[in-house]
Amino acid sequence: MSQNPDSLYIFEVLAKQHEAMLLAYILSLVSDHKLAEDIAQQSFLIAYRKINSLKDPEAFPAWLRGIARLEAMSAMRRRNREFPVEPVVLQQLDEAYRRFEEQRPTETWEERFQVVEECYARLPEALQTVCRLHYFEGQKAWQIAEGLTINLPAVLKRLERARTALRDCVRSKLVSDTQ
Amino acid sequence: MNMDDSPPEPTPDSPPPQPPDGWEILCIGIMRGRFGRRRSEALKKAMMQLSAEQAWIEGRAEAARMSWWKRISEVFTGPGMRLAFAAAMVLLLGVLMWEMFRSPNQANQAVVIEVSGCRIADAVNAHWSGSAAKLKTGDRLPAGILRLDSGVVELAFASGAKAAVEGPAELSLIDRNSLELKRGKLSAEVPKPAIGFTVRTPNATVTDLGTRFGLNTKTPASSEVDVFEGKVRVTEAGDVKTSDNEWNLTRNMAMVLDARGGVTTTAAAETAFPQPGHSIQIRPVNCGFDAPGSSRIGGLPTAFGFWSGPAFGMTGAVAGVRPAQGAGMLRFLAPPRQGGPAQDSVVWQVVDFRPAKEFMAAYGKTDLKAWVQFNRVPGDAHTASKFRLTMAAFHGEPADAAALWASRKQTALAYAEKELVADNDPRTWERVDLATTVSSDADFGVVEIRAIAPADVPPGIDPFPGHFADLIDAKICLPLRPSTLTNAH
Repeated sequence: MSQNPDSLYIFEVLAKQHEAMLLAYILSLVSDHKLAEDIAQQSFLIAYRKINSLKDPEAFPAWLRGIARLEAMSAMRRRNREFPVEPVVLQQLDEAYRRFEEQRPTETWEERFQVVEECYARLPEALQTVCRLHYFEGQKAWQIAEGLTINLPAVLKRLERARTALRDCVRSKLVSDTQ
Repeated sequence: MNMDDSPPEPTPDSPPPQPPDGWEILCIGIMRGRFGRRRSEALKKAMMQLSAEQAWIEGRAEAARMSWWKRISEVFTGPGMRLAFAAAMVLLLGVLMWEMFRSPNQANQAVVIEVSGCRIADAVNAHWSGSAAKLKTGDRLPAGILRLDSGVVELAFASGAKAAVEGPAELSLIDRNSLELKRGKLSAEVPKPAIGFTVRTPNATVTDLGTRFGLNTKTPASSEVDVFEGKVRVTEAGDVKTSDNEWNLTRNMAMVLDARGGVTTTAAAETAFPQPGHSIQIRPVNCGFDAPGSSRIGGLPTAFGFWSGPAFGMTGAVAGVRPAQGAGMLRFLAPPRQGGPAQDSVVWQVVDFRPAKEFMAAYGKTDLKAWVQFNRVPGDAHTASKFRLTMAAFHGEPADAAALWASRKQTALAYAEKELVADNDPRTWERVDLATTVSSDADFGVVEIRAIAPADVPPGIDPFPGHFADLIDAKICLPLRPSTLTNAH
């Protein structure tokens, strides 16, 4: 692709379709937005340079996620930090993304992600609050416990309940698509 | 799924929380990406870096032509200076000999690389002669004197300036923002970044100060400059500039400069000079069919900006057909048969012409051009082989588009359609172009792309097993045109 004068334009059109997915994928692996942006940028650069090695264009999103995963791992290594996600969980994550693509092939990633927003909106307010404070505003669990004047195990349990409810809701919505 | 409003608090013997699984971190990542954060700039930054790298690579290709100098300079800066000096001298001598004995054509070509800051953007009946005989639209303008015997060409300078030159003319490129016109007629349009655009004639230098002007070099001793817009500076050829041989001309002023000196007068009509082409893009939204979001299943749209039709989809490579460009293409599907014959597969978009209104009003009748590419898989007599592109322009509101379209033969201000019988090679995309004229009364256009079902398709047979369209586009334009008046002065 890099030999073709239009290749940059073609790549940009293709990559734009998967930009939201890539950032969300990376934010599943790292919580720092700035770091996630850097990893996404680096992943796009690598993808463009190696695009000739991609044999099946349909596999582009999965291939892009693979590049981002390796980039995220090496970014953590450079910071002497342990990669926070177990290999089995990574596999589940890839499987979940594949499920989205298979179940909703004609939708954009923005449209697919609305499923998650709808499920989040259905969470009880107490669970939404801990989710927002911990995952989206970056507060530690003990800070949330202090702020809400509840004990730490209660915060951790609410986080777990929020995650489980979100997961079950999203999965059930995808499954209902097939029925 | 438990989503009640009062989560139970843990008891001392509650099991410890489990770490998140893959589905859970998927949800967390998606929500993190959407919660009150500014838009990602990762792709934008990556593309900027890649563009810069591409430019650097192209720059290196240019620099490689000067590699002989690099070799010499490396020898001079490296260790073993004396030996290196001797080697460099031998190398330099070799280079000089090569430069001396190579053919004049090769020498010209080397110069072309340095000064090719101008290309031929368009041409109408242009006949070049001499060294320029093979020049065609799209070519870079080479160095040296070029003779245009007849016709008209549009030159696009790297600076952004453009000029229409009408033959018979003799010209030579000076640099990316200047030209020498030894003979012939020219008109120039100079946007702000190209201010300073200069045309030299045998007896004058015309420097643009942001404008449109015409220039006619009738003989080496006579030049005429007509300013249509803005301001130009005219300097009589000679070594010394004084207030007697330099003039500033503004809108509607003209000057004839000959053996008697400079005489100012009123500008001639613009049609006394060749005119560069102008166009304004009225591109349909999602013209490459790469974004599945901007489409609806339904009838003719009554709003701008999306594709609609009874049966179609956006797809990537499928059935051995790859998109002509980008990630997607439009796939025609068979509309449901309701007992009758097989229906054509049709897709429409309503395109807003209002951004082009001012342009159309300024020039009166303008050309409306549209084009699209079609492709299909091989098939038999029951497989559709014909496609059609139709474009119509209307006065009114897009809400009335369906009604106006239904009576288009009476209501359309402009109408054109063109059919294509496509080959059955899925590797080749075939382009259909159409053109008509349109007035500034037009408020919007309807573009229709259609795969035509053959007659007598038996029930149960799909006439569109793999029929595609890609890269549709449209523009309103005023083409490059020659002068239609002889000069008034």
